[in-house]
Amino acid sequence: MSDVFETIEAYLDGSLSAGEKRAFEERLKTDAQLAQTFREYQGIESSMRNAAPAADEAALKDSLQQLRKKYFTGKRSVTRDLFINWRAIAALVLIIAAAAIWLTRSGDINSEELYLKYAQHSLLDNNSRGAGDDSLATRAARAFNARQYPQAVTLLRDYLVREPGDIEMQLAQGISYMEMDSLAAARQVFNNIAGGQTAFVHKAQWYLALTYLKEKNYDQCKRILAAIPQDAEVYDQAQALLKEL
Amino acid sequence: MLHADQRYIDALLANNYPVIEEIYTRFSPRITSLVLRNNGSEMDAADVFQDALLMICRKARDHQFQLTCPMEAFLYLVCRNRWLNELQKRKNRHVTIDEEKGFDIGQDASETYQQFLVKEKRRELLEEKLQLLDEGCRELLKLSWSGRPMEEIAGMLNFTYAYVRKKKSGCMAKLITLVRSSEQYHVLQW
Repeated sequence: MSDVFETIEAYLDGSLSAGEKRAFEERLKTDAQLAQTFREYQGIESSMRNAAPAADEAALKDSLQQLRKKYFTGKRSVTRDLFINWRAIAALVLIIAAAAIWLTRSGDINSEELYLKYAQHSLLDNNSRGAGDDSLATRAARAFNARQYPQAVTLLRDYLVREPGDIEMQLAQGISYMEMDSLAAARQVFNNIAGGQTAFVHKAQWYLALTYLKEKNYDQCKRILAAIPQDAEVYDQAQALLKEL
Repeated sequence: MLHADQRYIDALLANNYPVIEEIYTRFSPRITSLVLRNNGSEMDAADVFQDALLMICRKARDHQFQLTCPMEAFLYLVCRNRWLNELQKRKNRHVTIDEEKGFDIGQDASETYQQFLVKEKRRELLEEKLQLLDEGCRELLKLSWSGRPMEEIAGMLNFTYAYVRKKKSGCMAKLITLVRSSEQYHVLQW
């Protein structure tokens, strides 16, 4: 164990022997620089550990929404001038209209639900590649179709080094990145395809929009969806999603 | 030390409706009046209040936050800051907040909130630096932070267990170097 970082990782992972562990803890007490690095390593780990899935939040959001209606009635800003004159009435009508718009608009866009609903990926078919059972292409397609995206990304990357012109596989790689929340990497792939001249241009736009849906950037998502032309095969689903947003 | 008001945080975590309702009864009027006094509507106040509770709950679920001060003061600081940011965004210029006179936030709430902000900033800094790493490192680190055991990750990536550990520590070394060279390091350091 020469490298400090390797030792820290092994220590935190619990894979040091009892003797090594004791020696490391002794060193931590005397070596201030090591102790600082250790604190940072551990600090980064605890900062970045993922939260429980946000799905757990749905019930809490329901409660908050109910209480919101009960405790924020929207009355307080108008109680001052409730004289029955046309100004007050007009103001009231405006406020009710605004509240109605606000209620229907924020009708809680649930980006996760929408994403799950619309992020339906067609399976990769390998026959057209005439590839054998054990080829890279087949293994990549199998991992992708089984939604094992981290594995798919690795295999696809190797495959695309050899076959950089296979746009369908590029698209699958972008989708895998997106599913793994590597949104920047996904966008790079989709932007490349969308800027090209292939049959996959609009599909790439569609997926680009989904990356923005995933991070709740609805404006950007809508802009991209709206730019998908009527003759595109993804036009209908783009319009349907636009309506829901 | 934990404050007795941690029970409100626990209620958010457990979706305990009666206690969450108490949060609304006891603390929402002060936030409403803060927002109304500062160019906002009651609906703005409702947004700010709800977002603040959700954010606090998320942080608590990440095990990154426990309440060591009164809930009301802490919630006030979170909401005040959110509303200030929102105002600045809307007006596109620097604004100040007209504070409620005679409401003592207290030293411990200010400190708790400062720590809370530091954690938030650290996370932002790490996210930013993470983008500078190569894809392989980013992928591996994110997987390792997802709570999966390293053996499983090794299997997913077709690496051996020993190699994946070595690689991860190498990626962490790069990340730490990036963090150390950032301007915010001294403010946010661990």
